[in-house]
Amino acid sequence: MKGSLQEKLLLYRVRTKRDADAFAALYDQYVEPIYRFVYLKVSNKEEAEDLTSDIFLRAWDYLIKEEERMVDNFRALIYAMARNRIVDLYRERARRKEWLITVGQSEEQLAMLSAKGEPAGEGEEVMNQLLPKIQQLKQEYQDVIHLKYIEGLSTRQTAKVLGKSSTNVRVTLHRALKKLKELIRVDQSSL
Amino acid sequence: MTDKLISQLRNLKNGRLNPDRVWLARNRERTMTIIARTLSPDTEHLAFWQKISAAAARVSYIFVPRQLLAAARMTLTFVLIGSLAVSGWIASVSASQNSLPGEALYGMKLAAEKTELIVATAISEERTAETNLKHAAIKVTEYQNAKSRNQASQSIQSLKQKIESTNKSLTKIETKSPAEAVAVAKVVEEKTEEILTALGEKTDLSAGPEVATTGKERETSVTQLTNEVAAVEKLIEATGVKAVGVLVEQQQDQTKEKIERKLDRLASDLVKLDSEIGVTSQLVAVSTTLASTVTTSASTASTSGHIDGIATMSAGSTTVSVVGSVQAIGTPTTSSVASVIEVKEAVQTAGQKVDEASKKGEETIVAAKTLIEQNDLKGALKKVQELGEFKQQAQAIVSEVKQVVSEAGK
Repeated sequence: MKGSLQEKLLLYRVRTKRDADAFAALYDQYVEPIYRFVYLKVSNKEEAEDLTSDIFLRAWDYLIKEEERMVDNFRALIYAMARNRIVDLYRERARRKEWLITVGQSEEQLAMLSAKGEPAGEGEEVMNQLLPKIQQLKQEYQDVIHLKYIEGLSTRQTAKVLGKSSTNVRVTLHRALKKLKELIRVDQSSL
Repeated sequence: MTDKLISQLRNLKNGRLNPDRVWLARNRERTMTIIARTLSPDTEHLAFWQKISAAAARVSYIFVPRQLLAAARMTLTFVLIGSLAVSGWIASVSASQNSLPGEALYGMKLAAEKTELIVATAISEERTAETNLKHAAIKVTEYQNAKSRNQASQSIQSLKQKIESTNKSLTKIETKSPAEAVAVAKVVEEKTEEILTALGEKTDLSAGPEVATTGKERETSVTQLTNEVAAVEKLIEATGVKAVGVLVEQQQDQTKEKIERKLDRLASDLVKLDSEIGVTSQLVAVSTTLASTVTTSASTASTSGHIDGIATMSAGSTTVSVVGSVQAIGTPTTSSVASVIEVKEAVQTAGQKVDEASKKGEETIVAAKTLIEQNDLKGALKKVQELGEFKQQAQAIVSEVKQVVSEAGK
């Protein structure tokens, strides 16, 4: 509650006073979650960094230029912008007939990382196993799993970010977990 | 498996998914530099109120939850609609306050009274009694301002209903809580006295043009209206006496004064009735004399002059209607002389009866005052009731005489 109020104050300062310091505070609060959110979808470090940077600059522009539009929740705004930016990226790639990020690519990158001399511990193994499976899920499922479990938001907060009802989020989450378990099970049985 | 999977998902946050620290710091600096470049001096020249309004809108939008804003908006809409409806209703009700039965806005006035009564009923029986008395006072005003006998009659009927309801309420309260009944009885006694005084102020029941009547409606005659007024007066009197009875039972202060006040008013009413019948009697006697002399040399003009002179002799407004009727008799023809004599006899008989009633009334007043001095308030109250009955008798006789004189006039 306190955090939410503080965030609203920062948002108010940005909107009314174009306060860069307030925006910097919001940036500090959300840059990591947004980076993780983007990285989970693009699986490319450099691309994730560029996109994250771009998302924040767009958010700033939106907040100071679109004065007529009412914004009451920075978290919902920044995640919506991140989702839109990723969709834009996919469209650009489709137009250029490039391959979208695939599981294969991320596995390749993982292999490259391992080759750089970073031995994969138990946690890394889990990550190497889970990330490709998450990326195989559809966007809606990825989003709820990311927000609810990776970022640790409450169902209500997740619902607010995704613009859905709490019930809808619960149902989606249940289906996402079910699908993820299926994918893991298939993977294990194939070994 | 689900719990394990969830736990693994939660741990993902601590691994490779996180950004590079160096990039984070560098990107922050770069982002802030770009942002700083976009900041230009505020070139907007908004009016003060515009700035305030924009700030208020942002504050409400950012800090007030959306559901609350939506609810507030909906509430405000309902409040505005409600206030519009209520203000319209209030305006109509205010405009209808002076309306009389049969007029366009009278229905609105009745609806407002009904609403008030429903609210009062929901609150308490005491409030119901008070509201009925308040409405009764309104009915008396309507009766006083009535432009026709039909309107007057309707007001009297409504008044009767209100008094009956008050009576019922008083009975209920008395049964339920004698202590509470005292407060109500005081109010009832005060108000009934006021109403009776106000009713007595309107004496000319024949005045005013008649409202056009449809086939179904029956024109209210003076006699009919007189009887209705007498009946409602009797009812009010009885209610007032009942209220005093409650006070007597509870041995309240000033009960003596209240009984004395009732006695005085009834005595005054009897005197008024006596004088009314006396004047009628005199006028009829003069008319009879004139009628017998004029049969041989009819002189309508001089007769009218005589009668006009008599009319000016009659003191007080209470005799106006009677004088009017006698004037009608005072245009004699040979055939009417006999009927004039009949009227004279009827008036004389009536006068005797009223005299008797007055005498009995005087005796009753004396007896009542003696009882009051002896502190026998219950006995005194019975005498008040008896006196009320004498008054009713006298009133009925006077009314009858008026009717006879009026018919003879026709």
